[in-house]
Amino acid sequence: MATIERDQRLNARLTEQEDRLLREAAAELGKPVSRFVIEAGVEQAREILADTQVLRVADRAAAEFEAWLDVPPQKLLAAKRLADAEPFERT
Amino acid sequence: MRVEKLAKSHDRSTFRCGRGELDEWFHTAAMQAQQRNRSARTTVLVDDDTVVGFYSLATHAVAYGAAPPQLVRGVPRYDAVPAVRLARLAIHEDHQGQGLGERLLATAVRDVLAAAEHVGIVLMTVDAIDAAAAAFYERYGFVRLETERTRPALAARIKDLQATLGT
Repeated sequence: MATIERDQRLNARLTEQEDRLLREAAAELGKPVSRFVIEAGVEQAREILADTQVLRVADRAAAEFEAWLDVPPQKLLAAKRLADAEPFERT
Repeated sequence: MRVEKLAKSHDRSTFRCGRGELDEWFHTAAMQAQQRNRSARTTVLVDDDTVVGFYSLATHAVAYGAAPPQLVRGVPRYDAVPAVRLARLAIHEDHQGQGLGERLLATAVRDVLAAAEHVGIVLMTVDAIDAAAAAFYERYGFVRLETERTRPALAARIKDLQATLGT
């Protein structure tokens, strides 16, 4: 079985109150505090990135992107497959 | 099989697509996201009463800095175009390899084109979970966007999809 290599470290300062709260919640789930904090953070990070309201095109590609927006409409050869695929009926 | 807007009556707990992250989101967050009236709307593909697939669509903006970005009160400002984003699309692992993903994508694209009839949308974008997923969308004419993000982002222009799908 493949093992996951966890070779990065994250150090953080926190208040006594925060520390107590995290330990209590982690104990509730029977998880080590560090795993609990990381899993909760990673989950929220995924949510945030998935729901982000603005996607930024990299600066180096901005001019090309802007030019692409202005190209007149063209049929996409590849998207023809979508035109041929039967969409599901909505109820 | 048919598609419906995700509702409480759908049993989400048995859905497995082989990607833990997507499964987890669908089991725990999809309904909440929809109820909180946040941007994501989820459509489910059902066979009898079993959920065999889903996708979620959300609005967003694609920003690009025509370098150098204008500084407005010291904050860089970028031009942006409105887009609808296919945030997630998944098929149950028992139903993969039957072309359902293609049909579900075709359904999502038609949803977006229907919206584009009445609302100004310039792009349909896709968040791909990894390179293999990105390759799937490239097969349907989506092109990679260069971003600073780890995950592949792709897009197709609405006007091209309209020209191709004839809507």
